[in-house]
Amino acid sequence: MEEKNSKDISMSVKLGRLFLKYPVMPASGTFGYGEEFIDITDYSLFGALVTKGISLEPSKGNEMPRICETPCGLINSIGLENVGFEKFKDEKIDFLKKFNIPVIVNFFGKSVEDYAIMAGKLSRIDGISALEANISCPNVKEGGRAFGTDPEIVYEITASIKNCSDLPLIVKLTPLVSDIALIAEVAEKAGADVISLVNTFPAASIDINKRKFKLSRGYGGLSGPAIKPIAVKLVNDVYKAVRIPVIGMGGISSWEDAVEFFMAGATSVAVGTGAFNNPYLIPQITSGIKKFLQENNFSSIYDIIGIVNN
Amino acid sequence: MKTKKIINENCEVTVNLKIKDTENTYLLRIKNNFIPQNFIPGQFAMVKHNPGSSDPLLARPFSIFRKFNENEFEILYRVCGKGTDLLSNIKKGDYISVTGPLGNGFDTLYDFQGLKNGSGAKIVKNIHILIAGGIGIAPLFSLPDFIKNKGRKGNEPTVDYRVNDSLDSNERSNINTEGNGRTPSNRVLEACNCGDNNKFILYYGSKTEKELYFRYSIHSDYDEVYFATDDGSFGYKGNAVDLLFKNINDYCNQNEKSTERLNVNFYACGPKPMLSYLINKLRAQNKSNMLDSGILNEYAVQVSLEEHFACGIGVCLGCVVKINSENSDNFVFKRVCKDGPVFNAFELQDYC
Ligand SMILES: Cc1cc2nc3c(=O)[nH]c(=O)nc-3n(C[C@H](O)[C@H](O)[C@H](O)COP(=O)(O)OP(=O)(O)OC[C@H]3O[C@@H](n4cnc5c(N)ncnc54)[C@H](O)[C@@H]3O)c2cc1C
Ligand SMILES: Cc1cc2nc3c(=O)[nH]c(=O)nc-3n(C[C@H](O)[C@H](O)[C@H](O)COP(=O)(O)O)c2cc1C
Ligand code: FES
Repeated sequence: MEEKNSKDISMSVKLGRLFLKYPVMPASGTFGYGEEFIDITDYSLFGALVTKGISLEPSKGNEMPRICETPCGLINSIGLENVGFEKFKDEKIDFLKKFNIPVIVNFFGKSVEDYAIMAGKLSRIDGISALEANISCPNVKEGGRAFGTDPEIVYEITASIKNCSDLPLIVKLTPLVSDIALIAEVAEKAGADVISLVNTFPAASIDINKRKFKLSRGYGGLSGPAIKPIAVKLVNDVYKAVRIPVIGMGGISSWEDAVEFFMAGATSVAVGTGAFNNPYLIPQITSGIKKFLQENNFSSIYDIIGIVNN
Repeated sequence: MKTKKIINENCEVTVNLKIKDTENTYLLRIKNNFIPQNFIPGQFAMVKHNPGSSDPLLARPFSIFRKFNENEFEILYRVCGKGTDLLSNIKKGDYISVTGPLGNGFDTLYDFQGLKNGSGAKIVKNIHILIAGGIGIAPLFSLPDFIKNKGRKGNEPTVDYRVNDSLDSNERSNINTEGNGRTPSNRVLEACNCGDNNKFILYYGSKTEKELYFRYSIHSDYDEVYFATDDGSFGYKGNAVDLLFKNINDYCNQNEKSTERLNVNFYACGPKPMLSYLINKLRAQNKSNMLDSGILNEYAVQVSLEEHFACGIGVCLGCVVKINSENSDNFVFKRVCKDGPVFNAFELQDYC
């Protein structure tokens, strides 16, 4: 009887035109191109597969050290190392396609034009279900400030991607802005189909004995449980500001954490740092939420989305 | 789809004890029925003493030290920070999270391609030279036993070293590690059938006597053992690499015209300065005589590296090392956790 009930609970979600059987997915940059986790876990309960951020040209990334641990957190400065578009197309996408699970390709550029060119190129290859534009990286032409901090540039990037690609577009916001709701509204107006947040927070850690930053670049991006309460708040801010669906992430390490994000307004969640310690986290979150919904007499994941504001 | 199986389980600790006569070094015995039977020396496990908890957040990498029995394996660790300190407080019967076996272990399928003018030369012995610095003994410890036992598996006592390409790929992958980040080479399976033709030599150095673990018992696995300490408290006063080079001509100065050959392999793990010193000296030696006589081929020196890991499985790109390459920058980054931790020494850019 109980078993039957649990089957009745609907976990599938729609992110614009994108249909996900399950609402939990990996976060970009913590899942490679899908080739590693498969040795430990199977992907059948993953809502989508999300790639490491890809750029037009391959990028070597930063010098070491690239990571350091802080209380309940991880600072990384990988430097967006990636194989580049051509190699992704030739060597990586075929593997991702095999699973019959939506493939979301995260990408970035050095300039607004790069984003448009990448979007065009990516939409011409087979097997991609949606694009996720990472706009947290530095705008080299405009002095290196993150694209995502300037509403006008956010509009321009979003609109020009939409111009070059018919794929559902997820715009991934940078969290360190004075008004995240405004940025989200602008992205929505420019045609974004989905908003995802948060990316990592700029952060630094210092080795007091060496009197030096621990990372080669000085600062990096903070992820993990330390950022979760801030992320939940930002997701809620965005949920209240836009009509399009939101993918929430930032420090999720249990199904309870994930439920917080749904209640704050996320239609789907992503798991990054948390899966480093627990490769089964994604399927565990899905089953944990299902059980929670059942015990609380909900019939669908949609019953709790944004419930705190209802 | 072909995958290399990795387990992630909460495992019971059966022993966690400080080793006598050492400073802050512990032996951790863990119950698991997969890892003891399936690891290759040099592979490691990610261990989290506080499963489900966020501080410390990340699991720590440790070499798989030894198989204790079919259902238990051991880790040898030195307390050097918060994570290892907390690990040392774990009690028998507690459960810790273990992911493994991870990475590529030492390649024990010897390559004889490097033998120039080797048309008629016969290998009469495999010399395995292990060089360990302090806790660097951990990934090396099981190697002699591993090589000997694989050797005994073969049913032919005679040694046939012809390159055999007719093996089907399944047979090869039973022994070789998959996803190997090292330059692929033709490895010869028959080389494993040479249990009695192996000679094991250990050069083991540390700062002081207390960091030479198992110094009174380790001899049983080796034909020869040489100890060195920086302070001279045990064995030679100086470092293990200099000690090795006192004897290097015994291993490497072979007669080119002889029809009998030694196949010399080096395996090393220790602090970065020690590895750099070793690699530089071997490279110089190689130029002077070994390469000419084809004794030391480019795959013959393997080293196990350390870096800070976040994921340990190759997805975060946090643990890279520069590998020589023909491209315009002269290097590519490879992941220590996934493409290593064992690398061919002569490929490593920052160590030369
Ligand atoms: C593949 C691999 C195998 C290893 N095998 C063993 C083993 O068998 N036995 C063992 O005792 N240790 C081993 N280590 C090292 C071990 O992982 C570190 O000692 C441990 O992570 C330190 O954790 P901590 O929280 O105690 O120290 P932290 O508080 O994180 O750091 C304490 C000090 O140790 C240094 N340190 C931390 N991690 C590393 C690292 N990975 N490499 C080098 N220095 C580090 C830090 O720079 C710092 O000075 C291995 C490391 C790797 C990468
Ligand atoms: C090692 C690492 C690499 C990352 N790389 C990317 C990336 O390439 N593109 C991107 O949009 N986000 C990247 N992120 C950010 C994550 O996708 C995610 O937004 C962030 O880590 C917060 O989630 P978490 O706390 O669950 O990890 C990366 C994060 C980490 C830890
Ligand atoms: S630790 Fe993540 S790639 Fe090596």
